[in-house]
Amino acid sequence: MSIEATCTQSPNSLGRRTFFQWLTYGLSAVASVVLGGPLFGYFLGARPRAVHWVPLDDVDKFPLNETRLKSFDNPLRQPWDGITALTGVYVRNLGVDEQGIVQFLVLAVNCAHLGCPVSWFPQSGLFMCPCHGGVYHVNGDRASGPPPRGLFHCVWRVRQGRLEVQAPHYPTLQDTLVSGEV
Amino acid sequence: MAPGASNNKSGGLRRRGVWARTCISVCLLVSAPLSFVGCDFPGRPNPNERPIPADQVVEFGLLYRKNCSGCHGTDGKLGPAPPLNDALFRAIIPAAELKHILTKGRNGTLMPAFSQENGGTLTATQIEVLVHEIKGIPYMIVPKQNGGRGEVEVVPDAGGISPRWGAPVRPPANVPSYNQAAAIVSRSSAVQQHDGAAVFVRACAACHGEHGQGIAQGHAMVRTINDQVLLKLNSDQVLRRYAITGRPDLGMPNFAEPRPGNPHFQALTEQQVTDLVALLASWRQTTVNGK
Amino acid sequence: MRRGLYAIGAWFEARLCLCESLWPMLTHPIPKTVAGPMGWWYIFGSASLTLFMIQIVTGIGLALVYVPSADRAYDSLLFLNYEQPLGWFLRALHFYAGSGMVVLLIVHMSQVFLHGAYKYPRELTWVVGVVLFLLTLGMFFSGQILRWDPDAYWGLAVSGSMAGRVPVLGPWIVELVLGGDVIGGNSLSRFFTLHVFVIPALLLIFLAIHLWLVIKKGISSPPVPGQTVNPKTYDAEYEQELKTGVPFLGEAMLKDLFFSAFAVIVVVSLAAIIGPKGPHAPPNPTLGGANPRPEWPFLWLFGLLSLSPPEAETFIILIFPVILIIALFLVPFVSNRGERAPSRRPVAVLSVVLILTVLGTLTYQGATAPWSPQMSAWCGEPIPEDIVRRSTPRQLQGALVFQNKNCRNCHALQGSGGQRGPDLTWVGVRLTSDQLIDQVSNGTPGGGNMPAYGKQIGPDEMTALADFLVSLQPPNQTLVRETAAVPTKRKEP
Repeated sequence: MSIEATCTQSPNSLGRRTFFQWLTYGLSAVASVVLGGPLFGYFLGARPRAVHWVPLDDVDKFPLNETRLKSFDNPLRQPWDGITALTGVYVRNLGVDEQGIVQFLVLAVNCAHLGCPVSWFPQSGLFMCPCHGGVYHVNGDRASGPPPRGLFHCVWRVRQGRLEVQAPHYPTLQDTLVSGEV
Repeated sequence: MAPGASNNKSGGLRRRGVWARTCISVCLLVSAPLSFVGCDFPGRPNPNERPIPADQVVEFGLLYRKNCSGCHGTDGKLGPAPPLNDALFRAIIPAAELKHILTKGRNGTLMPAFSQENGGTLTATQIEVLVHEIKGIPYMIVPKQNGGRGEVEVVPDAGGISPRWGAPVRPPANVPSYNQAAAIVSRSSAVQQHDGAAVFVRACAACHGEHGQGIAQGHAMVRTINDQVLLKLNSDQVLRRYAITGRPDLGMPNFAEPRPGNPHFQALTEQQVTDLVALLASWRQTTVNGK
Repeated sequence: MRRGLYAIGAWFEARLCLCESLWPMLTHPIPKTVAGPMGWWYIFGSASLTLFMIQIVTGIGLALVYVPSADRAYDSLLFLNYEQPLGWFLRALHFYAGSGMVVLLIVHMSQVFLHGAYKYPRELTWVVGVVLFLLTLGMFFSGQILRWDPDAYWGLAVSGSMAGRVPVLGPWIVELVLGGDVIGGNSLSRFFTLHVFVIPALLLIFLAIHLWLVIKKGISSPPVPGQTVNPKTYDAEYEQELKTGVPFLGEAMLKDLFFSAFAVIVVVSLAAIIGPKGPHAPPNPTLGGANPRPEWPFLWLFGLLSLSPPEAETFIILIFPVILIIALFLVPFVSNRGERAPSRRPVAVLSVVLILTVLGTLTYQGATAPWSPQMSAWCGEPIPEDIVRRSTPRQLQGALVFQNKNCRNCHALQGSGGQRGPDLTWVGVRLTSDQLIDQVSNGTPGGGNMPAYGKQIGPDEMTALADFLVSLQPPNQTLVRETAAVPTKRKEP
């Protein structure tokens, strides 16, 4: 105690001591930033979302005006995802439009309410959700129950006679599968 | 110093007693959990009851209950749809046709397609199980040749799983064919309906009324079959099946069984069944009820 | 030998100094009445601590075998259930001891609340206790995810969708919860880390603080009506009371020990008799027929979400739980003085009764989930045989339409089938044919619960269906028809 007291009293060492204090604070701040930055980035960051196109099947394999559950291995998967990487979409062949281009309706299986898997009932033309009873029409529009919107539409295209779908992430109300759509 | 160190006879004996007790205690302590391992506790899960994903269920009872019982009845009888657990029906329906109906549904009726590729939920294997069970063919479920992991197929095997509803009886020799036979000489529909009307009076009128208008019971008519609504929801093939097999679960006699008031009823022939169906089909357009 | 042991003990004591630090703490005096019959109110906290110890041991045991990888987790659970000796028992015990912990914590909190034990100077003890309760619920939720079956998968989906409703930050939080763009191995690893490292570490830290506070601020004496808490005088009064106190570690502990032993025997018996929960089918998200259900401590929220109007939903998901938690935290700050006896605090007693009743009712609703359509009722729930027997051919056809158009998924007949819509066993008494056709064609007006089926049902089908529904009347009204029908042979088309 007494040694310290004498040290701080010397004007020369006072400057050195203050300098060392500030140096320590500064160094600690730098250490915090170089440590905290990457840690924050690791824990809270998100990978950029890649765009993958998944070929589903030949266009003529989808019967006209019928809805089919089509499942595929989602390329957004991790190699160790196992069967949880399987993803289902409901595909409906809407036939050719005025320009002679075949049109499809591709819907995610996740209920817009809280994400549970809806089932398709061809006889009544409805999708029903087992969790809270959301019901959707054949075109994916909300028919009844708690969902705030219709089913999520997937992005699709036809390449070389095959229907391809853009690999869907897990869709939520503010993060749908069609960019720009909310 | 331990008390045993002061060595006398009784001390030695006591120490042996302590040792014995320790040994017994240790043995008990070790064996108690071991007996726990060996015991069958009610909570211990049975490997035979491990959960099976819906698309891998091949047990007929479960498949039937989950998919068919809604319309065809708990045990294949007494449902609103034609009974499947019907000896005559199981004997005469061709296996190929059964498979076709399960896979693609039946046109002109409310029977929907059940195969996955047609929007249903059943796999090809599950449909094969249903076909073998309904037809009464013993079968085995074996790993598919050149198939992937876990893929199985159904093959007939006399020593395999015996169908729950038993082997079908041999149908009588005079039973009309399930599908309309090509051998029947095609005649004009007017002639068919005329002959069909005569068959109707002989075989059906006692219960369904002279013109199929039904029988009055209290305020209502019952067993009305001359009804456009009813006939438009049933295909000719279903009508033909009813004419042959009847509905034993609801007391309707088959093609050969005696009719009320006519114990010596002569069985319907192939031709008569065909004519009868032609008559019923003609009622789809004109109906006594609709007048 | 005894002297040798004593020497070893002394060697450690000379370095650890427990005799002067820990021992006085453990033998500090507590109010004498706690050692009396009123002491039976004080047994729940220690019993939940005992079950927590079981959770640590069984959890370590399960972690020896469990593989937190999306493609192997399910297989390792099957291995635990069927191959690993007593693996099934450990899984079951882990579930029932965890459930018991939640139950005991609820009882413990209710007791502390009713006895006003959270009042001055034990406010912080209550706050830390609430944190412990929330962490335990966090353990329950993350634990359910580790049981990598469809319930776990869709539980993740539901929590993702709930998080997705947060304004602006929603998508980012979803990604944070799921650990990626899709539900899979990353999500499982996340919840494994939470369940095995993060939450247990927090639990142990807050448990230490809780116990420290219990020892430092003392155990509250059983409430006596009229004996009020005044922060200015309480400390002196309490000190006075302790002069006749009994040691903490002693006879007062006997009841705790007794009840803990009882609780252990109960959870062990439950585990041995009922066995492990799940796993259900493998977590294949493309298989239909999934029927996800939350674990029982969350069924009340599931029920509340289903029974509340859609407009209130985002509020209930995002804001309501926060309000509940804040309310729990604020309890000792709203009233930290005054009466402690339940007999003088009717509002406190009523609120406990009310809250537990509401939670119980919502939990029951959540367990039965009458709002969920039964997805396989249309093809898996037979038309009752007495209805088939008394129907005309056209009505039978209507029954087929009823099944075929999936009406049964939401409407029960004689109690079997979906419960979302009304049971239609006797609908013929309530509605005429025209009313029925209107209801089926147009659904519930204004986009209500029943969708419009007008486009899905043809005219003949509709006629048959209405005829069938009108025929659904109580036996006394159809008595004439039925009795007349039985003796005669019936014929169908």
